[in-house]
Amino acid sequence: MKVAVTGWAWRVPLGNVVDAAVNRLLAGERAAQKDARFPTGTYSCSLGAAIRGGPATGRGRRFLPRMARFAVEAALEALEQSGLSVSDRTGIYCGVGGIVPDWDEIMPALVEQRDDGADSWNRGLRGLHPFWMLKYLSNNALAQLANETGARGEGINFGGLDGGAQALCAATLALKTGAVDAAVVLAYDTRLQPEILAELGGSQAACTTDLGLLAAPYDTRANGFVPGEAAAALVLQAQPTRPAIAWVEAAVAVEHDRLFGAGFAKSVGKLVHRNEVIDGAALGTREIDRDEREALSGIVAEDTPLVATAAAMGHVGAASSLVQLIAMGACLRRRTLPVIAGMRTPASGPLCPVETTASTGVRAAVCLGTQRMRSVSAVRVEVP
Amino acid sequence: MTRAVITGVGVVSAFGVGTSALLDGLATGRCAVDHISSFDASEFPVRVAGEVLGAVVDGSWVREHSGLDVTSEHERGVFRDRKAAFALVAANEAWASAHAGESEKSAWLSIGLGLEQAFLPDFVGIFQEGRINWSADVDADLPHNRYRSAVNMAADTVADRLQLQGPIVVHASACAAGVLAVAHAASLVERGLADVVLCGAADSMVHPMGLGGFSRLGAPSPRHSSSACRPFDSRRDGLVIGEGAAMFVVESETRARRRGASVFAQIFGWGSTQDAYRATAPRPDGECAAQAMTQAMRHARIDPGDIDYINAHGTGTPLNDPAEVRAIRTAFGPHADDAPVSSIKGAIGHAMAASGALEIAACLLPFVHDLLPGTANHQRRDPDCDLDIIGETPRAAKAEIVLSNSFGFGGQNTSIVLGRPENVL
Repeated sequence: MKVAVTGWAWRVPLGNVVDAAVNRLLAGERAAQKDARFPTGTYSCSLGAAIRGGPATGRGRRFLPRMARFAVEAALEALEQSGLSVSDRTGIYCGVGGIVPDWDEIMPALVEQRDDGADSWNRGLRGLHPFWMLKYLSNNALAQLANETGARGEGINFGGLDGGAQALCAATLALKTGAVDAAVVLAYDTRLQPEILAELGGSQAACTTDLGLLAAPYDTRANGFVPGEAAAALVLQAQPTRPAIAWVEAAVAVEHDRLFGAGFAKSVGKLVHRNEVIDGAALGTREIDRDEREALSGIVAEDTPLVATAAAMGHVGAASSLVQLIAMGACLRRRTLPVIAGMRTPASGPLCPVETTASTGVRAAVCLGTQRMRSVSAVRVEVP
Repeated sequence: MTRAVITGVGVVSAFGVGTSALLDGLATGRCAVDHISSFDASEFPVRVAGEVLGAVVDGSWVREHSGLDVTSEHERGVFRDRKAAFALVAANEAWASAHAGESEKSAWLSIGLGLEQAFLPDFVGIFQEGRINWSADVDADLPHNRYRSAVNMAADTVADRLQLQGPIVVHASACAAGVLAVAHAASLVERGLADVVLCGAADSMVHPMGLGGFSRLGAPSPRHSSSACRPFDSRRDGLVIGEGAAMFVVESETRARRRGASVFAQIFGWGSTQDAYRATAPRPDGECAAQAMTQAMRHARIDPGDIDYINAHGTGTPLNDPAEVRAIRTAFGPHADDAPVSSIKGAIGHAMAASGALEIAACLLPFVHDLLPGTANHQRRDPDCDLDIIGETPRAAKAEIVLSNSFGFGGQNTSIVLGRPENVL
């Protein structure tokens, strides 16, 4: 079921204003840099795409971690754009990649601990801030947004790398069934945490080269993705009270045997129509890119344009579906397809990686996300 | 309309492993809260919990209670996060009790999970000059699951072990997660979007970081006694942390009957609202919590007078209990004094994300034994909690329709209405 988008906003590595960030996307810029959030020293994965600047402060948000504050900001901005009057019939659906601790903040609680765990209270836990636990509630962004807007309808919080896609699915179902009249969907995640970079580098899932050697996904030299971070929000209405910016549908499936298998085909096949563009999962290894394109060739025409907004933004975890949806929606409203940032030589294969920003008559895109060997998300965005 | 029913149940609680352990414990009015034994909590301000007993939770424990060979998960350190073990054992019991087989493997998984768990000892080897030297990680001899568990790890473990083929949804709505996960499952079945859903929740805050955080928050009772949590009692002074898991197999009534599955309960309806008030306290007037109950009853197409028992959120904190009472009075109107009310949190602790699911399992007691759970440690009435609160002794009663509340941190309110298997609405 398609639902109308009447407001959108984000905080992403290319910038906090949608139009300005899309200008940079269309210009082929990419946000990847070394030491994006902290010194990466001898980390094998040293590149990241970070949001510039910090979130707004505010007394009511002192219990929110950084990314949650970005998400609340984005949601309020999207609501303002939509002109929606929030009510008991407004639901909030949130996707969170994970509750990421501020290690510096809790360092005093950790530094004296023993490896057998003995006497842990006296060795530092007694120094935790009294409200430390509230700061790391899984649903605190959702609760804060409800507090600030007065939204008292249904509220659901999803966890995991496909959290944003799950939130979008839940919101569209709630609108379809009439459980709510309007939905605010928000998602946030950061992959720029030391332990995450350590894991991504160690498993070689992410790029482990220097910035100068970073290649684009779907390029012959593709050498891994860049972890990033983002917060994004949409306002959805089944019966829009003002002209829709775009319409969306979403689906999430699970892979079991291999990435881009039957579940992937099922998800994408449900959403794709003729003459559309694909914003790929862009995991950026040659083998996975090839598998993805071959799987897509069974579902879409072989000359279907293939873009990769993640090449510019970084892989942003639970926020991916919403970020891709906004990016492609904004591009298609300008009747323009974005170049794949960093693309030099497209690898051969089905679908056509976009090498230069170009005008288009296409009005819809299907955006794919898969961050691990389990979950495939597909979001379709269509513009007027 | 397609009716969703529960055909399988699995539980891990402070009463022990298994649904029978929970129901027997509640039926005898016992309290499972005791001094924490899984680590040395003697110096903490809070020293008691609804802890899963005997629990050195590792691969051996999981194998003992499920029969599953989980060597791989054990070696990867999956069960360092206790809730992953609880989720798997409970899910396995639910799956078995539903006599689920190959034709059920297309099932979705809808599971409520708590916070990621941080593993304090992992940091010790990589501290250098008072800071974490992450670069030293490459030389650290640690399992794959290190520093903190992933939010979806328990879900993936359950899906992998039971070979579930359907989508996985992780609900992370704090104390409301369990009911939301079950409601989501029922919603999928009612709308024909899923044939079978394995649903429920798992959580554990019974570890140093969790206990430390709650101790500093001041929400738990300061008393080091099994009677620490006294829901609706005039002397109540805080909650008791708990842990565990409850998992259910949910499918359509038609499908269940066609394959000869036993039905444990019917899911009649549910409701979800938000307080939009404060992160730290519920709305004192209980208005939005009342709306969740009203929504649930409306969805179930019943009147407040049809409810035979209310399983309260009942945390035993000074603020939550009277707010819930006001909410019940608002939602039930003149029928507020008709339905007996109890909370099981005094008996098994507040299992956080798992609490709503455990309480749904507790709601089977009336259907199985014609008994309404008592409220452990409730001995003195509070004028501000003036409802028919069941005391410590379970009450014999035949209940056809019950309602269970879960009101999460941050003001997420959920209510669910369940019916006796043979009840026809």
